[in-house]
Order: sequence, then structure tokens, then C-alpha cells
Amino acid sequence: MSAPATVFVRRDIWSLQADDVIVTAYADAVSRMRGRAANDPTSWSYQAAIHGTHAKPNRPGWNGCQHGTWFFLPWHRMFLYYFEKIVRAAVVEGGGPADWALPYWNYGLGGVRAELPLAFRQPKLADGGDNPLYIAERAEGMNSGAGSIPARAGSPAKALARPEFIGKAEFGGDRTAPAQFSKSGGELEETPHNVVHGLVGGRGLMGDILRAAQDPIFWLHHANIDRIWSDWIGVASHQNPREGSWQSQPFAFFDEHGQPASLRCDQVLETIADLEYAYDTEPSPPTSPPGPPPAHLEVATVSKPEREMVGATEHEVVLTGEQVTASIPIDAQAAARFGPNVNVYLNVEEIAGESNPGTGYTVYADFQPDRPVDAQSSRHVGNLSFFGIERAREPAGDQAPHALQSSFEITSIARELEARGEWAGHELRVMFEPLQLLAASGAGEHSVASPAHRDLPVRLGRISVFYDA
Amino acid sequence: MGKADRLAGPRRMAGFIFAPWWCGQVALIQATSVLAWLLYLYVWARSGVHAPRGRAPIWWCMPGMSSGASIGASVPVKVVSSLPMWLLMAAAMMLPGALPAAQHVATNTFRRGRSRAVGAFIGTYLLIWIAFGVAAEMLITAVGVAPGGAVFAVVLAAAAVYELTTVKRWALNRCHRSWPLPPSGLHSVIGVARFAWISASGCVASCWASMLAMLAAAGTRPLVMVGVTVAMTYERLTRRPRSGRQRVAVGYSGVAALFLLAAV
Repeated sequence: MSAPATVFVRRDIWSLQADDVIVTAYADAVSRMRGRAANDPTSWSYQAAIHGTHAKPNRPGWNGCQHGTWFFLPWHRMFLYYFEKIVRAAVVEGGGPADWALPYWNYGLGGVRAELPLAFRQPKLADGGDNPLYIAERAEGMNSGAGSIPARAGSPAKALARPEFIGKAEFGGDRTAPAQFSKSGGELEETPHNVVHGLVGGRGLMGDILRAAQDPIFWLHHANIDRIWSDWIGVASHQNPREGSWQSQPFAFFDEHGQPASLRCDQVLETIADLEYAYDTEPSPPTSPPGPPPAHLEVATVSKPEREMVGATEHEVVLTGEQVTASIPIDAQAAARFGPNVNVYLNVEEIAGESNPGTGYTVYADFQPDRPVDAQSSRHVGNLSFFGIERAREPAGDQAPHALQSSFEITSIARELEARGEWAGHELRVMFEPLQLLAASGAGEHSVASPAHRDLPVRLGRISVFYDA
Repeated sequence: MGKADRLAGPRRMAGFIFAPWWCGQVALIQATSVLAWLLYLYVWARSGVHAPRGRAPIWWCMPGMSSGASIGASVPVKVVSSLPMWLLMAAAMMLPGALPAAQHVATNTFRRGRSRAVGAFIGTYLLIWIAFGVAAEMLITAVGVAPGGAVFAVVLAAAAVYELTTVKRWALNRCHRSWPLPPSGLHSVIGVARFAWISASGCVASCWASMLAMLAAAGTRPLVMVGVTVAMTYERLTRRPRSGRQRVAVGYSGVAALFLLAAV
């Protein structure tokens, strides 16, 4: 396939000055789009509603976002692609650069880069006008720069380490039908995606799945998630799903002229060749192109893997913003069937709450209170966040309700415990530690959001351990 | 919507019901449902409801119908005599839609306690449906309306309207709910019973109108039973419950109109 004539390059927002033309042109375009009629598909509110909205009745394309599903990554890539075209047209309309591309926010780098980019913090511009990139409804400490995204929340390392795309605890999520909010999200969707939504938005726009895209930083956050997908697929052994039900799934959007447009998942797999954009950190392409899909893959979509519960809590665990531990008795008889090909998963099931409290949690398995902090970090199995929790039981649109669930692979921890004779017949201690913004040095009188959410408790119906062959 | 999309729902439903389950307990539920259908049809064929010389004993009284040996019997006798048929009908009609919940119970229980847990779930689930049957039987007896084409058409039309209400949506959502199940001991039994109550009460609230319509059918009852079972199972298993309810409402309305025309 020949390379396209123009490749738009998405740049790291922190590599740009706050008054860089890419940033100022974005602010100008946001302002222009906000000025358009609400029923114009290229308007700011309409584009945000394509992701999600509380407004009724539903207009074409609204509430189309895909979460908790293996379509999460391709749907958001398509969404950003059309949004970028619309913004670029608005940028050109305002006399900005014709090669404008959406910047990304790489909070995973830590340090100052984990703070909200400067251009998004101030309510007023230098000329005294309103800053279109500023949103008041963000977590305390975000706009002031007092808080930054902690490494455990912003780092994509755990997601990038997953070898497979498909699976609840794998990179891209498990097989589901298209759904605005299903229950089988992948590792990247959970961390950093969901966790950063909560940390940036708190109980404001970014923390609410139906209002998140109204915040201009939403798009830079998702450009970063999209970039991480590009990084992951850049590893030769990694593959996107090759099943027809994923590859041929279309999703509908609007182009820069406000006309309906659609793409299939298999049309967005190559960012340069298919969509004419690249990241300034674009990794090397895979060393060998993927071969044809093996014949058994389609069959795999309907077969049920052998899963067996080996332990579960008797009672629910309630999270209110404090550190909580729970003990899971590992049944001696059930856990004895620990074959060499068995993977072990820690499941947090039946997660229920009124709405996203804006606080996430780091999850530790085999937690021992007297263990040194450094050793404790090896027991960090992932993060738990509640982005979209209010949509699980009462989904918008035409979707069946379901409970929220998170899964973490803990095979290596389980094998270590088994080797020490502390697995079958023993208790696995799990700890949930609230995730909060890191207080930046020199934050002065500004504070960061408290993790407490006693007014919005989140109930974990059960914590279980499963074998999955 | 493409043809493939239109076919996806029914194909998924068929695939779900007839999937090669790894869990023997769920396979047993499937077999029980099939057996209940066969037994029901056999009894119906011999019950005398559709033929003047039925040979069924009183304890095979068809729910909602004063026929055969039960004619002239008191209300309690009628109610009690219809219980075996209610059990058969509940097993035949309700078990296919209960498969996801039964699978949830099986998956979330230790292997050694799976049979007991799934058995407790299905037992409680059917008990709640039989309680509904008794209540429906008493209501029909009290109202004193004989089943027939016009009555069936009116009740089915009402069921079509009910499909589009928020109460129906709430009930179907409740029917879909999962529940955290304690792994063992008394807590496990209580948890399973509670889950069965949530699931069955949601299904009763979701399907009572369809069931009353089915009771209002006379000679075509087995055919209506099949139709109502397909509709209820489809609503329970489809990933698009709102479209599912709308389709069922359209289907019910069409059938009701046909019967009304025939009656007139």
C-alpha cells in the first residue's frame, strides 16, 4: 500500500508552548464549534453527544460510544478521526494551519507532564476573553496545577505488557456485542483510561461518561489512549482481533461537512495508511505482516472456556475513600486443580454505586501489612475505577443492564504462594488503596481533591478468585 | 439494518439455548424444558379441552379452563387440580429464559456444590411461577370469563401495550439482574434463593400479561404457548431489549388483530 500524500502528525501537548499555534488554533476551533447550532453535527455539543449525553430525545449518532467492550479502541479511534477533521476545518476557517492535528496528553511520563497542560488551566485568556479550553468542573487541584496524575494511574505499562488483545484482563477487552457500556473492558480501558477520567474530572465532566467529551481535554486524553494502542500493536508479537465480527463491525459518525460517514474496524488499523495520521512517537511497524486468520478463530467466539471458582468473599465490601482489605478463603479442594496451563484471575464483581465518586483504587493481591513498601508494589495487580458505573444497571439506549466487573490476572502471585504452600486452604488478602492526585511541589495554598466519598459509597458485591484454563 | 444484523438476534438466541454447555446442570435444565413441552402436549392432546371426549383425570386440569372432570368443582379444587399443569407449563415456558441466570449460579459456585445450588435456584424460580399460576387461576375463576378468540385478542392487545410501558422495562431489567453469591454454607443457600426471587419476580412482573393472554386462548393454546415462549425468551436473551419489546408488541398487536377479525 502506498503512503498517503499528507500525514498529519499528532504531537505531545507538553512539547508545545501554551501559545503554540496548534494549541491556540484548537481553542479557536472549540469556540467556533460551540457557536454552531445544537442540531449541527459539527457543533461542539453534538460531537460531545455522539460520545454520550443526558439530553433527550436521542438524535442520530448520539450515545454511540463503546465502553467495556472490545470495540472500545476502534470506536474511539474513528470518533477522534472525524472529530479531528471537523476541528481542522474549523481551524482553517479561522485562518489556522491546514495541517493541524490533535495533540495528545502523555501523562504517563510523570513529572510536570502528568499535570494538566497549561493552556487548559486558566479561565481567561491573556486578552481577557474566556478560555475555551478551560472547564471549571474538574477535580480539585487539576486546574490549579496543584495535583498531577500519579504514575500508578497514568502509566500504561501494565496494559502494554498484556500479550493478547482479546480478554477481560487483556489489552483491548473481551468479545461483546456493540454497547455503550458493557462489562468486559480491557486493561488499557481500565488503566490509564478510566482512572484518568476519574482523576481529571472528579465528579465533574470528565468523570461522567455522558458529559466527558464536553471537556476539551477529553480529546487529548483519548489521543493518548489511541497512541498507546499504536505503541502496543507496534510490537511484532501483538495482533488486533482477526475475527470477522470485530473486523467488519461498522460505526457511524459525521464528517467535516456534517454528512453521515462510517468506518469499519478493519479500516482503522493502520493510522498512516488508512487514516493519514501519525504520532510524533510512532513506533516501528511490525516486522512481518499478519497472516490470514486461522480457521478456528470464529469457533472460539461461541465456545465457553472452562472457568472454575476457587474462592470468594462471603460479604460485600464497601469503598468510601479509605484503605480497605478483604480476605478471600481459597478452597483447598477447588484450588488443588492448579495445572500448569491454568491462569488465575482476581475478579471484583457486582460493583454498584449511584454514580462515579471520582476516586479510583489501586488493587493489591497477597497484601501483607508488615511487608516493605518496595516489595508491596510487586503485589499491585491493577486499578479499579468507576467511570460509567451509573450506566451499568440503567443503561442508556437499547442495551441490557448488567453489573460492573473488573478482572486482574494474578497467576504469578498464585504460583508463588503455591510454591510456599500458602495457596490452597489459605486466605488471599486483597487491599484497595484510594488513588488520588499527587500533590505537586510548590502547590502553595492549593489543595488536591480528597479521595473520600462517604456520600457516594461503592459496593463490591463479591471478590472472587477463578481458574481459567 | 442489514440482513446479517436482523438475523443476529434469533441466531444468538438459538445458539444460546442449544449451546454445548460445559455445565451438566444447565444441560439438565434444557432437557427438562424439552421434556416438559413433550409431556404438556401429550396431556393437552388427551385432556379433552379441544375434543369432546377427553380422558384426562381431574389432576390434569388445564389452567384457566373448566373442562373435563373439573367442571362443577369448587375453586380450591380447581386451583389444586391445575397445579401439575402449571408446573409443566412453567418448566416448558420459563426454563429457556432462565438459562443465563442458572449459568450465573453454576459458574459462581464451587464445583462440588453446583448441583445443589442450581437445583435450589430452579426450584425457587419455578415455585414463584407456580404461585403466580395459582393467583392467575383464582383471578380467572373469579372473573368468570370463558377463554376464546375475542377474549384472547383483547388480552393480547393489552399485553402488547404493556410491552411499551416503563413498568415492563423496569421488570425486564430486574429479570436481567445478577446477584453476588456467597460461595458456601448457609449464606450460599440464602444467596441463591434471594437471586431466584429477584430473577423470578422480575420475570413474573415482565411476563404476567403475556401469560394471561396465553390463558385466554382456547383451542389454539399450544400454538399460543409456543409463540409466547419464543417472545419471552427472545426478550430475555436479546442484547437489544428495547427493540425486542417493540418487536414483541408489534407481533402481539398483529396476532390480536387477526383474532379480533376472526371473532367479528
